[in-house]
Amino acid sequence: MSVAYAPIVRALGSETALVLVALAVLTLDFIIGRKREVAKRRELVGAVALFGLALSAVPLVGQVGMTNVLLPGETLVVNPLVIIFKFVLIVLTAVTVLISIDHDIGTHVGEYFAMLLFGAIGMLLLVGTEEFLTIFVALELTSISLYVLTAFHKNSLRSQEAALKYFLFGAIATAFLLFGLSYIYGLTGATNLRDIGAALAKKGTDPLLGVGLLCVLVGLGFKVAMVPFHLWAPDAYEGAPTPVTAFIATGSKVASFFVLVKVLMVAFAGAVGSAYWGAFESGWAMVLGLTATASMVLGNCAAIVQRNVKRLLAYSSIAHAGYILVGLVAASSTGATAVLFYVIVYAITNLGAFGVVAALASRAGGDDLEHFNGMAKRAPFLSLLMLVFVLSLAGIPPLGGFFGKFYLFAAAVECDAEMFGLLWLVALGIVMSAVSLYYYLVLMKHMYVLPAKDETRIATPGHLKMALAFCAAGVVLLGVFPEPILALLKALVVRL
Amino acid sequence: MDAIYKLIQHYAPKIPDLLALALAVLLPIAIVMGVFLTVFALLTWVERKALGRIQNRRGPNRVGPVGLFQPVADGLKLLTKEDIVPAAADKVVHFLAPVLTVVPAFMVLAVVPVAKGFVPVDLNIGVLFALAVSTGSVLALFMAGWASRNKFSLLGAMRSVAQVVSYEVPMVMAAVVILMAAGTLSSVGIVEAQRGLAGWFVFKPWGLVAFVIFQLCAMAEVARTPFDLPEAESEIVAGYHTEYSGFKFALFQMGEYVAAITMGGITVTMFLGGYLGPGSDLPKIGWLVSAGWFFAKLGIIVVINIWARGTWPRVRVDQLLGFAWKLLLPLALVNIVAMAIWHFASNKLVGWGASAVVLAVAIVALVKINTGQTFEKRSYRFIS
Amino acid sequence: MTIVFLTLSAITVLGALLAVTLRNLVHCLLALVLFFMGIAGHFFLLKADFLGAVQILIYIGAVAVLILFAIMLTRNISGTEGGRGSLGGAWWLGVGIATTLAGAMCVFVRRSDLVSKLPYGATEEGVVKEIGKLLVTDWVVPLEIMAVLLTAALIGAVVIALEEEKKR
Repeated sequence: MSVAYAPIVRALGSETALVLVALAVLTLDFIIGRKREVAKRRELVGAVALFGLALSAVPLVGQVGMTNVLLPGETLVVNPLVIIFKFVLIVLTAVTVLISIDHDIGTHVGEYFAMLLFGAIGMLLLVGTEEFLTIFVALELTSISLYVLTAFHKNSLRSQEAALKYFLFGAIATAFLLFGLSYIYGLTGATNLRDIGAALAKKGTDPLLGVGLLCVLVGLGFKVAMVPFHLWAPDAYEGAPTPVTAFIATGSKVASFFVLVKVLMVAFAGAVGSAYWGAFESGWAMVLGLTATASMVLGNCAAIVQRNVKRLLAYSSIAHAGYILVGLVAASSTGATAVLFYVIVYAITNLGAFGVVAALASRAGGDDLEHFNGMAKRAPFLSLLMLVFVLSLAGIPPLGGFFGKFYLFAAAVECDAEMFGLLWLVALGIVMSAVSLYYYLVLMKHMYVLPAKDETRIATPGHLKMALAFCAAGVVLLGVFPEPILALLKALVVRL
Repeated sequence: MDAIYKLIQHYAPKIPDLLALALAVLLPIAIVMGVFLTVFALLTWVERKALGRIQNRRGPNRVGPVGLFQPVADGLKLLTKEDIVPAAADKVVHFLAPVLTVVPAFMVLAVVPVAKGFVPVDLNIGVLFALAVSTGSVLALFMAGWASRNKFSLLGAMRSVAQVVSYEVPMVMAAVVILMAAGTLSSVGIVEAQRGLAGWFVFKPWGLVAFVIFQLCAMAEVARTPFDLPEAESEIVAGYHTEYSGFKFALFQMGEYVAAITMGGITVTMFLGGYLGPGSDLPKIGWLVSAGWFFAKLGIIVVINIWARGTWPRVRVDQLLGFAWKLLLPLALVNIVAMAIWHFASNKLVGWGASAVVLAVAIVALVKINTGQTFEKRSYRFIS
Repeated sequence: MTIVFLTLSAITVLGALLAVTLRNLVHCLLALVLFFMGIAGHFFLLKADFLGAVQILIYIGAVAVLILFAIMLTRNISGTEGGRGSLGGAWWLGVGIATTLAGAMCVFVRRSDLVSKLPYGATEEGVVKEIGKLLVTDWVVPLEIMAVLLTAALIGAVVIALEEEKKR
């Protein structure tokens, strides 16, 4: 009966800290924030949230020594890979907080930051578990926080519409996930990923497993916005307050892809199938191969015609989901490493890009492409950063995006040296990258070539510049020195 | 059920098996229905008598000795009255609503142990079942109000939904304490856990608080004065049953009274030791004595209800909801903590003292927080 | 037993179908309640009393009433507005897809071997006690996450529903 709660408390150090900070933020804003200006409140509360995030990183240090510990109840797992991703998520959240401080988020300041932290808690838990029930609950925590955050522009109908769409799609995706999980539980009698993997290895394939797996893929596919479950993304990205968009596009994606990798590689390793050209075999690799194709084609082609920067980035993120799935289709540890590496690079890059949009759009009067005309003169520093981010997204060396994509495609080619079965997918990816270059350059044309109507300088606060510069530095560093982190990830993924 | 089945087999072995089984199932239901319908009829009489006395008049006194047959006369009158259905009403729902009001009230009876060894169904989740089923009545009330296509009815229905939902929460929370103490959800188990000198849960600090909360919530749940906003005649005519007449109206009355009785029965079971009392364990007549105890306790609860109805004014809507969410719910939560202190205290005296102190502090603090807030003076404009 | 099961199933399916096809929103809700009752009945039939009671308490006592609240907050409270029924012109498409899926599921379920005996931890102390114990031992983490989740949802609901204060 008695359970050792101490290890659980230890493993949940960061999350506990964040819960406390979220509640503290609410209370603080309630007690001393009410009487002040909204901007002051944002600074005050944001500072507390940042402090809390820093605090939550501390317990991670204490967990470094633990390798692949399964905790009592087997709901939590602590290993170096998890710690790295938790750290990445905390950093992403911190940058989001920095962007938010400078952004108009309405009058419910305390609630905004609290919801942001709740979302972050969900993501941390999502990363730190290998058990379906916990995954489900953590996914819900993340999703619900993000739905609410999307609706935070309370005077904007577009924000409300976006939140509603996001919520409805999300609710249905959740239903699918749960339905699939129920079948998988019925088939294996287990909810732990490793137990499921073991049970399936003994059992072999089963038609119901296909149904369950497909439903799980729908649920998680919604979170990573892969075609055909992407319909919410452009609207939600456009309607949500830009810092929230950044958070959805980065934090939630990192956590979701991490879970996707773990679920597929650990629990469903036996149902991989094949997406080799001419040798399709039913399994998740085939499904993901097809969705990756669709995501890359649709995301890139639709991005070309967008006039709104946030929508453009939304479609670009759908396309990127496609690239990442290519690495997953390879179904090898190299592939998984490449996926995890690219997710980190992609998150930092996108966070930076949305951060620049957030900083500039509110001062330029809107977030359509036209509003960014001549930005290079009006805000040279941020424009330079944007250039870095966009080139990284397009995959130009020596930036992080290039190497990320390179490893993804290399993993896909390498997984079967004789047949080059995945070459078709890689070729498509490369073609689509070339297509993507077009719309990224259109954005750059607007910023660097076209003249602005109003040439006044746009001043941005220092902390924002610093945060974005930090992202840019990350992108460049990951591009120039990808080896150490890649080697680290590779070593850890093998032990997954 | 099994006991009856065995008895039948023993004394009348000729009866076919299926019939015996059917008898075993139907007999307890028939007994319970019969007994409680009688109690219901009596209750209407008692209520009118008592209210009359409180208001310094005699109450019913024409039909039968001291007006005892008044319920029968009322029933006959309502049965023979014309049943009017509004032209605009949703006919089907309008018809279903009064029927469905009665069903949950009677279903709760299934788990109330009225005497030692006599409970229609001894579910191992008895109390949970009772709480769950009793929520069903709110749907019937809403159906009635909604189907009538009458603004007053609809207002009454909306009020009743808001009220029941609000009071459901502290009620369940108050019940949690009892479940913690008894360690079971079975209603018989809960009664048996209250054996011993002063073993009734109402005699413990947490039990007393839970009892008061539960009693208040039960009154609100069955919409008794002072919580009878859904049918406040000075505001919304007769609330959800404005458009009902004849026997359907009688069914609503019946549903309300039976619900009040069953809620009282649940209260007795959970807090007042159910059928326990001196002599309830006697070998031959134990069941009779215990039934006597149960109905005596039930009578006390019922009288308290009537007393409250006769002496308290009706509360306002905002007071009603504020009372549930701002006072009862936090108090019920603190009560759970107090129960935990009691449970883990090294000896009973410490537990008594500590939980009593915690509860006292909580009550004082909550009352302090909740009083003193005044509302802006409202000004009403009348548009001619 | 089979008769009871079939009756219950018929009620459940009927409720579900009515909930989708009826035109009046409140009627849909009532049909949905019927469906919930059917499911609860199935739980009782399977001797899962606790789940049955919880089904009633949560789905009829809370979810249905919540939907009721939502309907009451709209202008269309009598449910009579809104022209055509919930099934639009392409109803045959929906019916087709649903039938195909249901048929496929039937075939799959028949052909696969589900774990016939799932870990059923009921002891003499009863299922409820067992569930309670599991919730605070093995499943304590999801339970705590649920607590955070509900807090977040509560705050979020209040923020969304709150009218924006005047900007200072």
